[in-house]
Amino acid sequence: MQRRDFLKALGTGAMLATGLSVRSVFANAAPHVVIVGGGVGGATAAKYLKFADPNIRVTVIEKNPVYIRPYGSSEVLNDHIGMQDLEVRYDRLRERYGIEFLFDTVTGVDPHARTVRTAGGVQLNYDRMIVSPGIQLLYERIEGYSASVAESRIPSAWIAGNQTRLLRDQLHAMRPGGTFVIVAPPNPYRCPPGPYERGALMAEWFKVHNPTAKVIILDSKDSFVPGPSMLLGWNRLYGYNVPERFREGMPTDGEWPMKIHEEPGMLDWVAGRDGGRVLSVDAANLSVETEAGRIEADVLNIVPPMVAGKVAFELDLVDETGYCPIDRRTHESTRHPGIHVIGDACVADAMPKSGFSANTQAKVAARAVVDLLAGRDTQAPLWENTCYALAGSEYGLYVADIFRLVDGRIARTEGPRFLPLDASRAQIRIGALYQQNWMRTFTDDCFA
Amino acid sequence: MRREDTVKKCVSVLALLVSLFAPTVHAQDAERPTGEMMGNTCAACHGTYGRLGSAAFVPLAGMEVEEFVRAMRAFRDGSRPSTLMHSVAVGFSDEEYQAMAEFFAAQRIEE
Amino acid sequence: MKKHLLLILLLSALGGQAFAEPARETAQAWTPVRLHAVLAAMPQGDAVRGEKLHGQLFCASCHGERGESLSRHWPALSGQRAPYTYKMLLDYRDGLRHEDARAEMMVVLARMMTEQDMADVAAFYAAQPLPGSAPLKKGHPVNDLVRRGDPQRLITPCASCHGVEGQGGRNETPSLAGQRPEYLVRTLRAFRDNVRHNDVHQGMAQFAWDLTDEEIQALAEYYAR
Repeated sequence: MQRRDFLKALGTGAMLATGLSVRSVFANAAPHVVIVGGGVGGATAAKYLKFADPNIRVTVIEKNPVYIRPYGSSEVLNDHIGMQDLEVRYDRLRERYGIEFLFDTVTGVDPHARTVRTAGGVQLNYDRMIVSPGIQLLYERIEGYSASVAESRIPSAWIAGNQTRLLRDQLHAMRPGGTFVIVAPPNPYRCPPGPYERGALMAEWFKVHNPTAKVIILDSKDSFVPGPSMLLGWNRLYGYNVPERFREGMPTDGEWPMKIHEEPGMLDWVAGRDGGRVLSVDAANLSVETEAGRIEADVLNIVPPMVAGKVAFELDLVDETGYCPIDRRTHESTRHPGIHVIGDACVADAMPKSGFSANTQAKVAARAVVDLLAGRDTQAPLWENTCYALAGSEYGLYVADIFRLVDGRIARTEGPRFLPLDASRAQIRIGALYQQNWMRTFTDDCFA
Repeated sequence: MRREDTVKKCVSVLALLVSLFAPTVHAQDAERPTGEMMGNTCAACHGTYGRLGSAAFVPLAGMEVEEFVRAMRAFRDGSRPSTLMHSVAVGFSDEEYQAMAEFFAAQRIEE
Repeated sequence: MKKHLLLILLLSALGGQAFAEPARETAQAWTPVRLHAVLAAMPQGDAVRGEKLHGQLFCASCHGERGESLSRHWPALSGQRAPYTYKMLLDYRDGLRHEDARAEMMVVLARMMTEQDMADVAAFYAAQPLPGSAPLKKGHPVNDLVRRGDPQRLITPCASCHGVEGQGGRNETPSLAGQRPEYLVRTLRAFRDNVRHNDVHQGMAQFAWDLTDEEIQALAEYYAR
């Protein structure tokens, strides 16, 4: 929707209600929920609001007219899909549910007057607001790194777009026998299995296209999700030797035993305890200084520390952690009433930062908003994060968690989280098939 | 404040007392999420409100209550093979299976 | 054409080296001679081994403990004729059958199986009771179509191949008795719209081309459990 249409609508509204302020017109009409951010969280919230009550007016304010999905974007790097396959359009949300879109940037909010302003000069009244701004990458936290370096030479490719394309091109142009280095971020970060899945998929691709290449994942952490199940996949597929401390429970006989490889494999992971933490980067020479010494790269991919997206800061929703504190039951900001925060940007305790988490948080928030607007009691929330990940195109892993509200905090329900180490070949193969299906069904649940 | 009738309130208090002594989160909490709240977490694989076109996952909309409950039980005890459904099923109680089953059974089917 | 392009894209997006090969798409179409030879060469099936495989390979997860089907989305396999089940698995494996995302799943699974595996699970399902029976239903809207066909549209009676009670058998046709009606509807439409074409010389599709939506629905109900 264009800016002038909005102004026209406001003007018309004011004309219809002669003498009344614009605010009163909205108060008499159907409640208006403004959603900031049209990613997974914002889109899901918009859709489920409409399901709960089609009379609620929903406006999504989003910067980009086409969404480029970050989840599954590593599959562009190995040419499994193309950049165009990451594009998701808002047409279905608009046409099926009557959700209005304003492609613009939010510049400020007045939580008392319940108005929000955009860079394009629009001012909207809202009854409740849901903010789902995602993350921003703090490039400068790593000495020698910056946004311009990331855009031109050392991509992060953690927010899908040009950097994804750049990284793909660099990887495909890498010299035979070159080294691909991934620098994994510290906790908390978006998509915990992401860096490790990316390394695995590239190792798989290199085995065919650049068999003497190497993949090194540098980490400040000593463990990662989904843990041993990924390490076992690396062992089986890329000749990786599983560190002693992770070997418990790994199969030593049967269908597909864990092996001890004599030669180092194509892929390596340097944990924090082994000096994997990166201290600085030399952009000109494509090398990093780690606690264990200098590592030279032919292609370098750095995922820096991250915090809530810029607009969360601009709207004063963040605390000293760089994320947005909320009432866990409703996702309402504890800093400003009437504004709910969901997705990567919110403080969600035990929940990982992921698309799936954002999707279930959006549903909890949407339900809470609908109940609050109707003057009803809010409901007991329930969240989930059940994501598939890949150790190879035919090797499926997963994380499966259920979360409940316990003493005001979001706590994980006890149970098995990951693919069992004794999973059969069939389970592993089907897991990969499910991962592909889930990309489609998940996208549909958010955007269609 | 919740509008609960007295009986439900007593049960909630009892459940709360029990849960206070439990170090981990158990499926039976004082205030149970509705079938819809729980069921909507399934949508990412099983379709919005259980409605799914052609996909590897089973659509849940319109599924008979008994079939749903039986499936979740079988996933939980491992008698039915799964990739991650075992993990999911472990996270819910029998009463919650019933609530979700009733929710999905009531959803319209749309192929 | 567009639909096929979409299917090819979907298939190639499924992942794995297997789908990068275009060879599967041009797999040999069936001829009566080849069908006869392949079925004659079908390995002896071991139903006991088949039952184990049906658990390990997730068949039970969708098709049910005895193959009775757990959802309107998936066909019942219980009591299905072994040569037919075997042929379907070959068709999935070779990419001859791939009408939608559910079929894609079967393609992946079939490629994990040897021909012995296929014969074994086929034997297991054949040993299970049929989910239903479809005897004469006088007065049913499509009873005449089933029993007498329609000479005007060159449709031979369904029962002439699929059996007096829908149990299949003639010309390697499958049993339809007690099958999931949603699955039968989908199947007839797939044949009618040329989305499914693993039949020999369009031997099934030709009868579906001139069926109306109402007839398809009624036929599915005729054979349903």
